[in-house]
Amino acid sequence: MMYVKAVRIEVKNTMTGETALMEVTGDTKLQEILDSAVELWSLPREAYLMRSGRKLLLASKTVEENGLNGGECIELLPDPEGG
Amino acid sequence: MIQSQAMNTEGRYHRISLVRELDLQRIQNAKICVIGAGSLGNEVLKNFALYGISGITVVDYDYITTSHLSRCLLFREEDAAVRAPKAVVASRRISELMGKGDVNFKNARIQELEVGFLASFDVVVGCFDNVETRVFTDTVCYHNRIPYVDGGINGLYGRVQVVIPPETPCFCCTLNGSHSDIIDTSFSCNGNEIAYPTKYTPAEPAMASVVGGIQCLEALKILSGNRSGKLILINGKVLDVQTLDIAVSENCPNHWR
Repeated sequence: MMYVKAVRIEVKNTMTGETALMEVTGDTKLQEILDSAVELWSLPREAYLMRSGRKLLLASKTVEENGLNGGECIELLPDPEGG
Repeated sequence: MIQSQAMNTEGRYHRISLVRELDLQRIQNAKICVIGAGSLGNEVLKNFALYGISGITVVDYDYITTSHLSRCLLFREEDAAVRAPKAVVASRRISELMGKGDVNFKNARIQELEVGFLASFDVVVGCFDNVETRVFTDTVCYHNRIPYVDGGINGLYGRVQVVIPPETPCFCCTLNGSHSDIIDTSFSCNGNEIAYPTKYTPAEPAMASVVGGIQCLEALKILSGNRSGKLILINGKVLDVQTLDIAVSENCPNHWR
């Protein structure tokens, strides 16, 4: 039987300061976390980025591939489209 | 002539020539393409004009309306009254600012210009209002090895990305599903989600100055030999400016091997 370890990640909406705790696994893609956050906070259909510290997180990669550990904070930021 | 003005303490470019980190001669001889002459483009063009860069080409297909007058310092009421082309007016006004020569312009979408148009420039500065045109320009610049400085604003938020092909990650490396969603919406033809004709992004003139100023400075540094890629995100709500480390995405079509 395969054991999948759950990891608790804090997600912060930098536009409002709100935070949410999400329980994910190492193979959860960051895109899933982004989609969940957009849904949770009913964010408008716009472009967003995610960062942890100074690192831009790649949505196509997993929690593990992005080097995220339990207790870390992912910040959700708007990616401005206008000019 | 320009050099003598820089040497003369009362010359037009003397104070700029004292900035040791920048190479004024290389900057003034550069060929720069600024795509998009809206709020960001106006700020970028104004700064380049103050440097006396006559090798600028302005590209925009759009026309001036009254709503531009609250965020575009190069445009006037008389321009909006006749719906004058943004590229034409912006190039004329920066020519006046520089007091020399005519600045080139293209009154067209960048996608409509001839193949290879961007290849002759030393740096391309993108001041777009949509992701699709950013993807197009980033891709063309990447494959022609032309440095690309992207800027974006949305209310009190801003972004600047510097791409130095092929060394650094490109704009497409930063994309995710949320970008795809808005591109899909723009191109949707089901009659319910044709968002692009009525989508207006909040534009704040001070944030446009900040982002346009950073774009200009990054372009000047590239022209002076400082070639480093970066992504800068600005949160004007809490005045947080972050330079992020970015990696090449394996999903980026520009980086597929």
